[in-house]
Amino acid sequence: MQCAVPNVFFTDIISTVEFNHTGELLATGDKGGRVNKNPPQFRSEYNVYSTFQSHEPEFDYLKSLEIEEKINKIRWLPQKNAAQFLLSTNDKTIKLWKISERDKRPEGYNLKEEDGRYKDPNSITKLQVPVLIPMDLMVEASPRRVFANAHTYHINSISVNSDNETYLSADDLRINLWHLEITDRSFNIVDIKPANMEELTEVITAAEFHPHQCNTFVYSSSKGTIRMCDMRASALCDKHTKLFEEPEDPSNRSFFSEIISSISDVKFSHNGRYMMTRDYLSVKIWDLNMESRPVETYQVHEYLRSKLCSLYENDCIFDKFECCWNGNDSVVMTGSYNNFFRMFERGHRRDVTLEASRENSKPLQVLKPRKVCAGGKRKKDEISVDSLDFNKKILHTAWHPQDNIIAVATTNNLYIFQDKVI
Amino acid sequence: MEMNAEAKRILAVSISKLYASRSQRGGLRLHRSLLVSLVMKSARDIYHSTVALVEKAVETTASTEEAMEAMDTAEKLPEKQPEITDNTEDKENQRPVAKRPRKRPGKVSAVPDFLPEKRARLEPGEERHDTAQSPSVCRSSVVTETRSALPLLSRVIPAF
Repeated sequence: MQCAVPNVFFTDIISTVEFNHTGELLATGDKGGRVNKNPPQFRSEYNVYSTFQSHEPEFDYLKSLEIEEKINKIRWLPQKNAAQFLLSTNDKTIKLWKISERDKRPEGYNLKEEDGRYKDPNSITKLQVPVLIPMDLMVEASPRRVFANAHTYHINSISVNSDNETYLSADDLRINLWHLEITDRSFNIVDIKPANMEELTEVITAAEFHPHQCNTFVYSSSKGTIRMCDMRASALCDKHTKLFEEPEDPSNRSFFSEIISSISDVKFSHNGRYMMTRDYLSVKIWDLNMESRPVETYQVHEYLRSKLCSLYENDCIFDKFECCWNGNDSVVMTGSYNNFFRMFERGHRRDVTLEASRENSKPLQVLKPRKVCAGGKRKKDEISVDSLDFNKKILHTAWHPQDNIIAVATTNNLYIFQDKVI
Repeated sequence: MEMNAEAKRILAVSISKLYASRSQRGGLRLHRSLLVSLVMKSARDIYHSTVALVEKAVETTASTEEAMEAMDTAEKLPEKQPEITDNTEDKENQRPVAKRPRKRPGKVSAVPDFLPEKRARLEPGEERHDTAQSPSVCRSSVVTETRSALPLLSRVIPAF
């Protein structure tokens, strides 16, 4: 992998990264509620060309709670016309944005001057046809729909259905189904809230629609389980059609077993045959036809298992790492600490650790694989576990749907890398 | 004992996290609060189980010692009788002998020092009785129900 462009700097913490369906556009959301849109000028060179404020901080007067403007998720809609549409969400409200370009403006109105003032009718002596003349590219982002007041708890996921008409939004205890055209109502399709909140044992952590089957979706839980539901079975999908769960290894039992087994992200493969889950220490690939155990398990940073107590004290154990597939589902990628990110090549069972840093971000510079020394004698280019910087973490990554171009978000920098061009 | 100390430390850290999460921007995070409470539960269970083991060991030791003393007393009784009168006269002038407390020593230290103190509990009948007798009594002077620090799940989960 080599660095395609110098990293893009942001003033705020990046909270989500998403390529659109063609890979032409890359959207990032940040903690300040802004969405940045980056199209490429040349292949794999992305520059920020549009930024808009998606969400503002709000205050819930009934509960005396502040609602953060941080963008939790962005999801692009498939393109139907010249304009682009995306869904962005904070903790409580989802918005549909239309992003359109304007590079021409009309000139030669009959009744108006160029500055917009109306002409004196007596001065009009002839008729002319207004013409469109080129202008500097202007990107307009306008909110087309606001889907609000449907979530009591914090929204963690949104997912657009393959029917391109509906989408789901998930919070800690419920999942709602929306129609993109209707904002004043939604259908609750999953509700795991117990009658007595003291009996609460798990929450929903992520949810996603199947890429091809419009009736199927999955949601993951804090207990490390994934439930697949079929919306044709019943209106309320509290009963799952499949439950994916791997038995816990009793030898690894500790105070923090529940925390590290909590799933932070779930993603279907592009072909719809597999799904990938990310918990604190590993990435697991599940065959949708086998519920008993994952077909592949990749350890992201197993050397942290002995450090869980420290990670609990500094809150790092609560970090929610995301994961992503490459275009042909042969490689998966996820982030780690010290600005490391890991790629696992499924077929050849190979993995590599790379670092997103300013030193490595010179254009066309090939990234050098990194290695963490878990114990014993440290070799020359290895880094010891105790030297890892846990403030530098890569939580959000995205892979171009067709090409080997990846977007990796550190705290407030976005790095874009591409496969080495020979 | 190491496990006990570790469990106690994790309990203290967890409680501080729960209290800190109440003031964070965006409100209480249900997922995080649940995970912290699960860690607390594990640590609490281990803490109490080790304390129970210690208590049991102390009781076993105490009962063994009492049995041994009883046996010694039974053997020494014929020799001791001539000395009783002497001891009785001196007893008033002697320092009182520190007697072994009848209470189990482990009970006093069972309450962890990092937990908030319990407030006095007023029975519902007493509260109503007070209200009926003196309706002008300020509401703030009525002692509220005791809330123990554990289980904290009832405090952690907001009543949505």
